[in-house]
Amino acid sequence: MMKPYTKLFSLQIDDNGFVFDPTKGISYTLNETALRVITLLKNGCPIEKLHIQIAEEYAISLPSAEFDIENLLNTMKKYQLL
Amino acid sequence: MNTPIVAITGMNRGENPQPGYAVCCSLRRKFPDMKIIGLIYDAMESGIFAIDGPDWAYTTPYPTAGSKALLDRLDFIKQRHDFTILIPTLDTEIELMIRNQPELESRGIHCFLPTLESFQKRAKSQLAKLCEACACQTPLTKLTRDLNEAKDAANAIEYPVMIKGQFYDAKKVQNESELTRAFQETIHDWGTPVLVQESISGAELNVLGVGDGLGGVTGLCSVRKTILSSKGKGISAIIVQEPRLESIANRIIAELQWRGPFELEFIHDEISDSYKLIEMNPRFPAWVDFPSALGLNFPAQIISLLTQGASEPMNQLTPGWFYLRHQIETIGSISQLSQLMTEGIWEQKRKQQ
Repeated sequence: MMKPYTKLFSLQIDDNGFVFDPTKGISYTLNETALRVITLLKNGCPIEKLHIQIAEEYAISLPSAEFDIENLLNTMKKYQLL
Repeated sequence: MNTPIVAITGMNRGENPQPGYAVCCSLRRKFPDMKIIGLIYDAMESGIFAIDGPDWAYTTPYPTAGSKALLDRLDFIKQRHDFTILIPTLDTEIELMIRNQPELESRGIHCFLPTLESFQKRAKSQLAKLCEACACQTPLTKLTRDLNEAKDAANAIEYPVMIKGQFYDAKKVQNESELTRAFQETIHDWGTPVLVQESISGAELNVLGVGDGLGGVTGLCSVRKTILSSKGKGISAIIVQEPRLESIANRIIAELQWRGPFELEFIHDEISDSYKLIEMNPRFPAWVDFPSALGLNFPAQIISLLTQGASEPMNQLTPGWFYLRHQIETIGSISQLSQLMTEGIWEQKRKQQ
């Protein structure tokens, strides 16, 4: 089966949320939640279920989690990280 | 194999570093006992005062002095130190060296340089044609010979534009007044033609390699410049692995059947997400010792190619390694300088240190 978000798998991400894009030579810093979202994505969590998982882990409402995740994914698309 | 004595040009570092000292350092990584001659144009070229710089330094005539002056001086130096390999590292001297290759060979001096045809096909003025042949892109560029032509070209391309000399220098100008000043400075320093080039905003990336003369490369090192000096030079750069860049580099080298070191300068057009070739330098860049420190030693490859006809296969470098240019002071005394200033020679330099 093809892995989703191929670009995501080419990124070098360490446990502290420091991200290096080896194609562009640009680095980014993720906060704890963003790092968790990316880890979930890389582990195969479907995008439409991310907010459920995050809401549960961080004890926040589903709409709030959905809003934050959408923001993160849009930012990552903008920087061509997805 | 006896380690050959090698002569290298371009020893000045400082604000706008030349590649020769970095080539010297790379060669010493592979051949610690190698004897190196620094060929210099000025007694104050800082690399010759560095402890790990060349063993000897000799002044040489500027390329404008022509072939006879160059060959006479090389004959004089060769009588003192029997060097068999010459690595020119400055844009302005490469053509003269190419044209004199038969003369150099007859003296037992070997260079790893492209043919004159290949060299001319990568000139800034020919870049559009080269890119067309290689299915890659380059910014829109017009060659101009006087100020009116330059103004017309800038109006046609639309400001801001880059004003570039045929060998060196690039200035971004926003309007006609800035263009006038930049054009006059460029023509004063580098003559005609002056290039007026579309300005593209985006990251600058360079690809370094050595062409084997048969259409292949011995290895590639791609970097993205992360900090730029006021002159646009990379004070810092990080290794990247971008297959699209490597593909373009391979196509260009195959098209030119390039023999020798090269540095391809690209700009990443953020709007179209494409790479545009802005220049091909026919020499090592000043940062050549960076990949050497990581095990991809291009200057050492030149020695292997010239002495053994082949170089060892090179591994790709891991993305994420970066360099930061670090300036230090080199130290010299008036007594050391006197021989250079009066005779153009500095013998036994390393022994004295």
